[in-house]
Parts: sequence; structure tokens; C-alpha cells
Amino acid sequence: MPLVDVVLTEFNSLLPAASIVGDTICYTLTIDGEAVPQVELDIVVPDNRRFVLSPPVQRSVDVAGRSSFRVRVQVDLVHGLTSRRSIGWIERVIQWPFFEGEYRDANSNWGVTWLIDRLGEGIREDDPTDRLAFARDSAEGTILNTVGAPPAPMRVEIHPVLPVPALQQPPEQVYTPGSGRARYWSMGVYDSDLPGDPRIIQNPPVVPIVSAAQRSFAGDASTIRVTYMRPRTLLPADLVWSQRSLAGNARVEFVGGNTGPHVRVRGVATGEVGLELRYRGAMVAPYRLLVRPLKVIPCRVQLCHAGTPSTTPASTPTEILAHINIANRFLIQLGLILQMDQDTSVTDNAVPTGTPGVFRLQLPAPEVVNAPSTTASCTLKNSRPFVFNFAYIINDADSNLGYTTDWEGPSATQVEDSGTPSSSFIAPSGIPPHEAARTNIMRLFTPATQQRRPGLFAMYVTQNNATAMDFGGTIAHEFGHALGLRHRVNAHGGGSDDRLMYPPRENLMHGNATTYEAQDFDLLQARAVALSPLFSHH
Amino acid sequence: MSEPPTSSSDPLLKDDPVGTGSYEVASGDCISSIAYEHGFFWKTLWEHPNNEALRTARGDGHILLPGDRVTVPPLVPRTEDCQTARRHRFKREGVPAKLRICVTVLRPSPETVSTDVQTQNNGTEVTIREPEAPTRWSREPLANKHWVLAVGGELTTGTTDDHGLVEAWISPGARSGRLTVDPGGGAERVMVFDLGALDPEDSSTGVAQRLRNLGFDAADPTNQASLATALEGFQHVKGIEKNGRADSRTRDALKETHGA
Repeated sequence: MPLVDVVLTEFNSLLPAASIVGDTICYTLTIDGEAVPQVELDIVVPDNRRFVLSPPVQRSVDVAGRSSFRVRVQVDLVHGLTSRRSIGWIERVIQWPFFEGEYRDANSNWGVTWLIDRLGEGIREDDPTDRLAFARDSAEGTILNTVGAPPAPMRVEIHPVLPVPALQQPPEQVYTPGSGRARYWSMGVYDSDLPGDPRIIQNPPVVPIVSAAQRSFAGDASTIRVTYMRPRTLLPADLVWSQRSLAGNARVEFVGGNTGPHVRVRGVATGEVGLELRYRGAMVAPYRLLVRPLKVIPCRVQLCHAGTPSTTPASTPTEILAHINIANRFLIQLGLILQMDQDTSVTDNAVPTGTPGVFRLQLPAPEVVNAPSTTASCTLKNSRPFVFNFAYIINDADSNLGYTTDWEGPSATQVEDSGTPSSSFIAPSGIPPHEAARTNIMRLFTPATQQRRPGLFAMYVTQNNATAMDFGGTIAHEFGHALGLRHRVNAHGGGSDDRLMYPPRENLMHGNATTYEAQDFDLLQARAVALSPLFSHH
Repeated sequence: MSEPPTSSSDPLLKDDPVGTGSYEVASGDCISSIAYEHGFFWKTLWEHPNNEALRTARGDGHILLPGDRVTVPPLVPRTEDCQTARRHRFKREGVPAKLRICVTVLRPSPETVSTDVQTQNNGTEVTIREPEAPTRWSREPLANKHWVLAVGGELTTGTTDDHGLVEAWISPGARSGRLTVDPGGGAERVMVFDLGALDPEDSSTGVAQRLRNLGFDAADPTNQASLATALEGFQHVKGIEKNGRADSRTRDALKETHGA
């Protein structure tokens, strides 16, 4: 039975000493609203305002199947036989993964120190070496067994951003020479190696539930991997992954085993899953992911031209399909992909190309060359409601790589998250040695509609993109805007800033990082896109 | 005691058992435990003429290698004349045994600590080239710390002396134990250990065990390359030539540092 110990160790009074000397403190610990009767004790308040509970008050909580529990301490001051006054309560929600640690909380009258201990799960903090070997000796002998080393804390991370941003690379710890170098994996940088695994980007925030028929284009399983491991002497076979449902009845399935520094998982049931990585029983690293059915969003592409070679984009229908495929490598991190519209109906004199979903469309030259970004009409043409409409043009007046012209805003102005590890490992991540994760709030585009037609979601792509990777990245980035995502920036400023500044250049919604470095979506973004009407429509 | 190395051993090390006799040393055995189990005082067994080869090779009967052989002679009844109608107390020699553990902490000199981090990228895996190990280290005792020793179901408590020494009487037959130093304190260390498990200092397992006890953890002590890495670490700290070999100078330093 997985148990977590809550241990109260110390109280601190913030009240003037004179007002409490001679009082008695009565405190009650409740866990999830249930009072723990045996810890209601009376303590004479010393005049130094600080008193240590000896022995500390301890209570075990069974956390099997739970994602959090709530601890509250209520304190009353008692004077004499009849006077009793409350000096308030302090409450803390202990969240999965229930890391061991010390917490200090206070209200305006008093403070409390409590510890979270994990029982029977092994020792996480120490280098888990094998048993030591000692020699016995006789009474008059001289044998000594000398032990000792600097503490070698175990540190295992599953960073959701790959490659792990340089500033986040651990560690600063000084290790004993000979203990080996750390291992740190960087897989996840994608460089257009079609037809590779559609799930080539590892540690995604969403593991989609896909049907057997969808596996051919959406892949079979997602890879979740350790990004940092210290000491290196940890034996991969002793790294064991398990899961816990944090929301809904979420569940994933491990494909090909659940041991080692990386695993492959399939989505099985919708919700939020907490993956727990243990080394010889001790929890060493958590990872959170969302599980939801794969969202397939239809799209059509207008290959716009003005009737001359110089006004005709160079991209061919085959190349356009490759661009969409590359974009899908990024978008599947959000649990969605674009699929070419199979509806062959046309408007605006569009001409089918023979490639499903790709049409040729002749427009006046100003709509194809130096097009006005805010009033471009190319994206209106040959569109269908809730079918994402792309227009390939030569360029626009602002030298953009692409531009989202039409979308309907999400159903909220912001999303927030306070779990561990924090979204994108935004410090504090909640993973030791970081403190507990705080609430991160990400701003979205406002719910206001910027649609010129009902159900229109559209963007144009220009020939300023140099490579297929550029095209794919631009499509995924602009599509993110259409789903309500703002820019992830290095420093606040500008109206499209989502107010989170991490990771600065690895996130695909960065304003100007290239597709070769900006490839990541995070958990907050994955939550946000589900609020888009385009997402919910399908 | 560990299994013998499976990969190519350092030729400087001796991993072959020695001695003659009917008793084959197993993991956890030492001369005290063997004598205790057979009803002898340990010196009687150790100084038996048939154990001379073993005595010469091992030097100390408390540190034997699995596979070593010990001659255990038949018990000979001993007669003591005593006055009748009186109560007499007989003491069995050599019981209990003693355990001495020196608890230390290895600390780098602050001025030699570098924080430079470089990475080495082979495409899919990056190895962090962590800061060079500090050039100067000091081994400091965990002095004057409360300790709790659990051996064979018996709890003993005490306080380390100025040298970080834990000293306790134990049963010679005890096979394992657990030592907690500074329980609940900031320097808390928990050590789980096997008794009589320390192999001779000139065997590869013995070298690996001493390195591990001192904090130089070979990822896989049965692998020569892994052991060499741990040896280099020890040599670095001791300021002797880093060659990853258990040469006589390194083994002497290891024996001196470890104390056995």
C-alpha cells in the first residue's frame, strides 16, 4: 500500500510574546477533512515563540489512486479554563508526485513546519550503491572499516522540452571523481527525415488515442525518455515506469516493456496521466501527459497564382503534402494532425490538382505578390467551414513566412497549470532540487472572433520559407495561432506574448526561432488548443 | 563477498583461493565466524599448522576470499580441575567479536571547485562533461555524532569519537547489519553492510569493495574498465599517478585509507 507520511515538527508563533505567554495551544490536524484525533494535544507556549514537537506528530496517508490530498492544521489558544480563541488555520494541498520535502507555511498569527516522508520506497537521496562489505575483528585486532563520500544525490529528470534548453541543463553538483559522467539525452531534434516515425518528437505533452487505421499516419506510440540521469551507475534495468491517473480514468499502455531510460506508450483512456519512474522502488522522476483521442482536422490548400511563372509559387502539390506531413510531426505533440480534405467541391473557380485537398486558384497579382497581411483575400477563397484553409502565395507586404488571417478565439482568455513537473519545466519545476511548482498562467488570444466568414480558419504561406522544414514549421506555428496560442518570447513585450518566457527558443510558438530549434509544444499549450472551436468542432 | 570478476582481471591482482582443509570459505565467513561455528577460539584455528599457507597468503584471518580452504581440526575435550562444591565461571575466548567503522566525509577544497560544464554530442546522446574533479580533497571524520547500530537483531547506540569511530561488540556469527549515523540530523547516513564480506586487499573484489566503502563507486566492479574508473578517482584524490591500475602503491594507499 503506497503510504505518505505527514509529519508536523514545529510551530512558530508570530503573535507578540506578551499576548500568549501562559496560554495553551490546542491544534487539530485534519487530512482531507478528516480530523486525526490522536494529535489533538495541549502545549504550553514557551516565551521564545518557537516550539518543536517532540516527538513529532505523524500521520500516514494512503495515496493509492490519488493525485492529491489536503492537510490542514487548526490552532486555538486557550487561557485558563474558559477562554479559547482561534488564531486561524493553515492548509496545504500535497500534490502528486508527493515528493519528500519540508514545507513551511504561515498565516498572520503563526507558522508550521511539516515534512512529507515516503515510506518503504527506498532512499532517493543517496547513490544507491550495493551493500557495503565490512570485516569483523577480534577484540585486540586493528581492522578498521572506513566509509564515506560526499553525498551523491540521485537526480533523474524527464524534461518535456527536447533538446533540453542549455540554461536548464543540470547539474552544479561536485561529484567524487570516478563516479562517472552524467548522461543526458538530446533526441528529439527533428530534421525532416520523412517518412520517419510520425512521433519522432519525444516527451510530448499529449499521447493520443489512435485507432488501428490511424496508426499508418499518426504512429503507434510516443516515446517518453529520461533526459538526465545521475549517477550514471544507475542500472537501466532497475528503472521501472508505472502510471497513475491524475484526472479522469486516464490510462496509457506501455509498448515493449516498462523498464529502462525510455519507454513507448500508447493512449488508452482519456484524461491526465502521471508517469512515475522508480529506481529500486524509490520515486526518482515524474512526467505528466494528457491522453485524448487523436483529433483529425481537415484542411485544404489553395495554390494561388496570378497567371505568370513569376507569380506562381514554386511549391508543387507533392511538396505541399510533405509540408503538411512535417507540420503534423509537430502538431501531434498536441494530439492533433491535419489531414487533406476529401471533399472535392470547389468555389471561386478553384481547380483540383489531382492531389486531394490541393487546388489551383488564379487571383489578381496583388493578392499573390506583396499581399496585404491584414486584409488578404486569398484565404477566403474556396474555403469550407471548419476546414482549415491554406493559401500558398509568393509573399506578403510584411515579408512574413506565413500569417493567420482568420480564426475564432478559444473559450477562455488564459489557461493555468500547477502540477509537477511544471509545464515545460518552468522553474520552480517541482523536481528536486527545485522547489514545489507554482501556478503558471498562459495568456491566449481573446475569445473575440476574427473571422470574415462563419467557421473560417485560414492562413497563407509564402515562398519566403526556404526549405520543407521551414514550410512545415511555419504551418504548425501559424496553425497554433489559429487555435488561440500566442507567441512564446524571450522577454515581455508586444501584444502577442503569452506571458511565459520559457523555453525561450525551443518552443514552436517562439516568434522568430527557426524550425530547426523551435519544435516543442508544452502541456499548457496542449490544454489551450482544446478550447478552440476548431478543435471542439471535430 | 562478491562473485569473482567475469571479465579480464588486472594481472596485478590475485583472485585465486588459497589454503588447504575441508572447510571452504563462503560469503560472510572469516576466521572468527568459522571458529565460532565450530566451537574454537579463533586463534586456535588460525594458528593451526595446516593453515600456514592461508595465514601467509592472507595475513589476517578476518579477511578471507570465498573459496579459500581452512583446516578445522576435530574438537578435543579439555579438562579443567576445579574444587567441588563451589561455583565456577568459564569464559569462552574470542566471543564476541568487534566491529570498528570509521565514518568520514570526503570534501573538495572549495577553491578547487570548477563550475564549467561542457557537452559532448554524438548525435542522439549528449554526455555532459561535468566540471573537472577538484584537485584537492580532504577526508573529514563525522565526529561526535549519535549512531545506532543494528546487528543480528541487537541494537547498540553510541556517539562517534573525534575520529568518527563507531566501535561495538558483535556476535562473531552475525552476517549483516545496518548503521545509522546522526539519525534525523543533517548528516544522517544509513549504511547497510555485510559482515565478514570484505575480501583481501590484493583481490579485484577486495579492491572494488574498499573503493565502494570509501565512496568511489565502480559502476560494475566485475568489469575491469569500470573498476579502472573508480581506481582513477581514488588515485586522483590521493594525488598519485592516475593509471586505473591496482598497482602496489595504489593498493597500499587504499589499505591505509580504508584501514583493512
